[in-house]
Amino acid sequence: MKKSFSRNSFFWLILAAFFLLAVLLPYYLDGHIILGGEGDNFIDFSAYLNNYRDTWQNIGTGFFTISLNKIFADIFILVFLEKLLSNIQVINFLVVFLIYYLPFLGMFVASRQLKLSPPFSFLIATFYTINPFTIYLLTSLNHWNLASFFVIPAFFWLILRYYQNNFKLFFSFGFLSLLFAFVNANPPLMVVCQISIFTSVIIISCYLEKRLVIKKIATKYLLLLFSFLLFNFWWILNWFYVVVEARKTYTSGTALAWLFGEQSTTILHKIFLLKWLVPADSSYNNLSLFYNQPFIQLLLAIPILLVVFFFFQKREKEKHFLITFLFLLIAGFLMKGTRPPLGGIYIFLVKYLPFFSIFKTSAEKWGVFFVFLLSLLLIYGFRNYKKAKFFNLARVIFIIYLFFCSYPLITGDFISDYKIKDLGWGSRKYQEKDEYRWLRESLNADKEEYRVLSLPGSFNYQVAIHMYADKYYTGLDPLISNTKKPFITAYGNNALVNFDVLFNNISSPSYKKLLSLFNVRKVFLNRDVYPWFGFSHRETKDELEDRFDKDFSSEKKGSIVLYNNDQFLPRFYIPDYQIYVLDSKINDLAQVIELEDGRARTTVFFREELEIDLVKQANEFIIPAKTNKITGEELIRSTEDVEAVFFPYVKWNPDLIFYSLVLKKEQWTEKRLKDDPLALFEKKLLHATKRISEIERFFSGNELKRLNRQMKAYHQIMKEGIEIDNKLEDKNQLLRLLLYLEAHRNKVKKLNFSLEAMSQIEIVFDELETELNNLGAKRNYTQLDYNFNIPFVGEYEIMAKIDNNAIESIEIDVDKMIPQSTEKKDWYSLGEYSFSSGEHDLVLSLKESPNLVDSQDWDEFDITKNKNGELFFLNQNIIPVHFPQDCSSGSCTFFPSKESLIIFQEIENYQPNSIYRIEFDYSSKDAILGLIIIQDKNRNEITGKVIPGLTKILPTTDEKQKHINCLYKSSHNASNAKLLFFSRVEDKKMGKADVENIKVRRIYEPEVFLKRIGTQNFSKASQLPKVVFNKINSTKYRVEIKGAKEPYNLVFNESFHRGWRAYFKEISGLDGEIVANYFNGQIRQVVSRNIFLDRNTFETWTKEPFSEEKHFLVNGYANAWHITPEDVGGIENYEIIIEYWPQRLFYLGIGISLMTLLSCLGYLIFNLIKKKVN
Amino acid sequence: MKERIKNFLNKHRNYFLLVAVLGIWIDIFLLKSISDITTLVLVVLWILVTWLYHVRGKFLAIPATIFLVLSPLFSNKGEEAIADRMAVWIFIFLTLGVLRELFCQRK
Repeated sequence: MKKSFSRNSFFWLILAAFFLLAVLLPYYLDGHIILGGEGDNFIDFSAYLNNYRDTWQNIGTGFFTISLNKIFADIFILVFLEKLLSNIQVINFLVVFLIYYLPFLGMFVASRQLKLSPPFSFLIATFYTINPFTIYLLTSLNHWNLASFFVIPAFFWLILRYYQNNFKLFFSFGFLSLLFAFVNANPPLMVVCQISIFTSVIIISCYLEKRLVIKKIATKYLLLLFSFLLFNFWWILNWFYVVVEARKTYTSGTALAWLFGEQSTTILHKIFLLKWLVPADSSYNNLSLFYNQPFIQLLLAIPILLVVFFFFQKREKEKHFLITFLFLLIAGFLMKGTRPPLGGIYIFLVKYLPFFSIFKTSAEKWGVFFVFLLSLLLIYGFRNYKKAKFFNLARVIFIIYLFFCSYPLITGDFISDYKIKDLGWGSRKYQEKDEYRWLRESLNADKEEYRVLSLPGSFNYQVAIHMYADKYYTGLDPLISNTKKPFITAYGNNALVNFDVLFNNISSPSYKKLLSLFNVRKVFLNRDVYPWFGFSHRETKDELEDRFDKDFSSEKKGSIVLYNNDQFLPRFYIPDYQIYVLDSKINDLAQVIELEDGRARTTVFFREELEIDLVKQANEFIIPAKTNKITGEELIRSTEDVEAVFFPYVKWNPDLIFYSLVLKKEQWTEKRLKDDPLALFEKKLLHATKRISEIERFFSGNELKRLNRQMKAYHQIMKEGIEIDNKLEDKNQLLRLLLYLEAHRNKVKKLNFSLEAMSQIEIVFDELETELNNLGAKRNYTQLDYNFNIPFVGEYEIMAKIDNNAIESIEIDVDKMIPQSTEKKDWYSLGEYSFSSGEHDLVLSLKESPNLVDSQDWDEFDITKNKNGELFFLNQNIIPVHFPQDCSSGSCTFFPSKESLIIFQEIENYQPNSIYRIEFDYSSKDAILGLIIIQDKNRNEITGKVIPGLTKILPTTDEKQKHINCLYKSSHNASNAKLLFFSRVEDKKMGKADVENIKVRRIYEPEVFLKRIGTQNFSKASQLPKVVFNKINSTKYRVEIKGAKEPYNLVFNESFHRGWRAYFKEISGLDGEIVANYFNGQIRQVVSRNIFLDRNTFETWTKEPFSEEKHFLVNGYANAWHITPEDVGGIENYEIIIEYWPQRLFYLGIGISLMTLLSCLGYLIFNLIKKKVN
Repeated sequence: MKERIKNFLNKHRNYFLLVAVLGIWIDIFLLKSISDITTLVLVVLWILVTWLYHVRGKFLAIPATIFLVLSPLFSNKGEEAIADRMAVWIFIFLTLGVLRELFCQRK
């Protein structure tokens, strides 16, 4: 009896299912579900189907679908169950159960097909599912990616089973690939699956034929490929359309940056232990604690040791074993990515093999294939070498291994809580709060088409949401993912649109208007969201609430606040006011909106070039004046220490005979860079620094002649550097030259050369310094030079975003000044002027900002009251210093002693996103002076630990006074800041540091725009055509136009894409309830229908769309069509169909795949009938 | 000439083996980082040794097995870099072993 059931495959399959059931069920007690991460964030699959079904996704302002196959059998079944059961717990359980059970099933059937006994098949399938790599990866619970653990062995099983029957192979393989098409949603895993199919054919061919028969392998693989293509044509066809745009998200540069970032971690030995995904930090979670135990490490080597054991036992003519082993080693080599040895091969593949850049997470993706091949080798071993010496021992060791690996499952903590640094614990146990359900249901019930802005705006798509106690949900936001309304998020920037303008201008007085241009009707604030990766806006959650409470009506429930934007532009509108902004981008949208006159239906054309047709349509014409603003690099350079200059190691003495070869090599490298001046400049700096390093290593202070020669060479290189810099026209490089010059000078000073030698060297340094200063490295921060290009002769008003009291004088090359000036919101008019066409300059002289620190008002930081985390970054380095003896005259002197001192004071009127200039004189002896800026919001919200905004350590000056001048940009969210000075001495010696003349001044860099005066009148609202629109699905809209007598622009508030086309149709009337009415009925919306296929689906296939020239970009992201009466045959009432063209490819692909499926089924039925008849 | 080289190599094969073993020892325990050049030179040396001693592929798995046991021990001791360099040689010996076996079967 015992023997019979152990030989029954179903017994083992049911046993595994029951075991899994038993360990998973406890997670669902207390009404929880398992949710979190990047793929397990769905609780409303109908919403998911609604948002992602078509070739255009209903997210943000819309985006083209890359992987259409994300929705197929899986989602259809889940939507069906959702409707049938209405219980998310059961559905979630089923999903998680299958994620764990399917890999087991796939490997079990593959083992059985390889004629391994059911008990051994059970062991191998268990190994495949619960080894450290698989069990760790499965906790991501992303069913799209994780189904690859099933399909790889399942494809192997099918190929082996039907290898000799071409039709059955074609049909069964194609059908399975169709059912699991969603596995291909992740491009790297799709490629891994395809490679596994190819290798499976080779291995199976070798296994059955006992040798490599290339022709047969090619035939079988082509058959499978053909089957795969035909059955999956419905999503593959779309790939051809989006491949160019999709590739932009997988650049080789990004992939290499990612791979190099990973490179620091050791991985090679972990590959053989299958624990490369397990964090090295044992305290991270239960799995890392378990797998990092010392004795477990040894145990983890068992599978690969068993494979090596079987390799010893291998008999002749078992080529399939060797081939599989070779593939395993290749997979292992690819898993290590760019790490040595021979990491260059991977870099080469990423750079030059098309599409290989998708493998940026090398270990994870190739790992799936590695574990599959390792399992195959174990199958061969346990099947073929039963009579081998030590076989029983091998079997026992393997069972012990499996027993230990199943420990996390047995303890029921295999989807364990995980530590989130400085926050608490992340947990997959999720229970939806009442207010979350309320929000989702109320938004889903609303029939109006609009977008929702999600706040707070996290930088990363993985958010942390407080659940209960110290437990947090982490992963994709479950509120956004499970609602049918498209959300705009701070992390939602994509190739088509950048939303930064919405998160950087929340406090703008025109914010409502800005939101309206993005079709944002609701703003929701979730107070449970924590800044896991930081927030993109300057406001805290409280400040956000205060800001929105002021201007927006709201509904509040628990931690959710839903605000209503009453100034709202619907998905379609015809503008009554059009602004043309030349040489500008979407980032200027907030300023442009602030400048215009508050019209309701505005649209903005941002153009880099002049487009006369559009300018003629515009009611307002704006030109931004450009100025040489302080760049990020300039800020860095200004705070960079001379200590940061790297002095390379030099091997060769300049006196050696072959030293000329060293110089030749340098010249050769410089010659190669002649087309890249910036790189050449860097090389010059390096070579000049090398000359100084050579002086340090090979010169003594008395060899004047030699030294003279060396300094000449140095001088020559630096002069060449200055010449290149002149061509670069970039002041940052000039600052860099000064920095290097100072570093070189400091280095030589330390060499204790004779006075004569030093004066000889100083002459060179002085000469270079004078030359650099003459070039104007010192910038005048109160005088801003603007330039602008006037395309049309006329009168323009110059507007600057600055307090008028800050302006000293204006200089402008102008034909005529019109004495008139107005003020508008935060903008100050600099007057109206008459300009001729062409380039013009404006010089804005600003008053110097007052000193924002008081020379006498320094406070002492009491280190004894140091709160947890406050100034934690200093406490190891600070040698306590005395309070300044006298600060009254603006001079502060620090004397290190045993008592502690850090002095600080608040910077007055501190503004976010502003540049400050910090100046002071200091001198020090045997002490290092430190300067720090601490901003109010630059601290961890949970721990309160300070993140310093600026830290500058100044070296000892040997009592000589030195002037420091550095620039600093306040963070985007700061509202006040403290300036701190501290001192440090080496080896607790007595030292001294003096600081005086401390000045902190704000540098103004106002935005300046020119508005053309006297442009066209705006259209009267009553003259505009009436619009009724109806959404058919995400890729199709019907728009009814009535009373269009004049040309107009139809704006469609969806991301601009070349795929959107507009078609003319005679009016037929839009069916359905009117759900929204805007501008006194001028624009109305008919209830959306969300139809995938009906008799009208193909109505535009025979029609010609409006020409491409009519389609253009508005508001920096949206579509618009310019329609004239001639375009529509002179009629006033008609319909326009807006359609996303690639959806046709989807329909076409479905047709081909359906035909393939039906043909196969027909052939199968025909064969069955034929068999029966015979 | 060919014969003379072959004879010379065969005569000194023990030295080659010694250098190859020492080379790995130095690579794992003395060198600070994994160098492609060193690895390639040693691989060539090991191919030569395999050829001179007519070693079957499966026997190349012996050093791989030793490193497979040692690597987790070093990892436990916190010597991750040494464990990683051993893993490089596990890879190399297993690859050489499999390729050698495939080569032998081709004959």
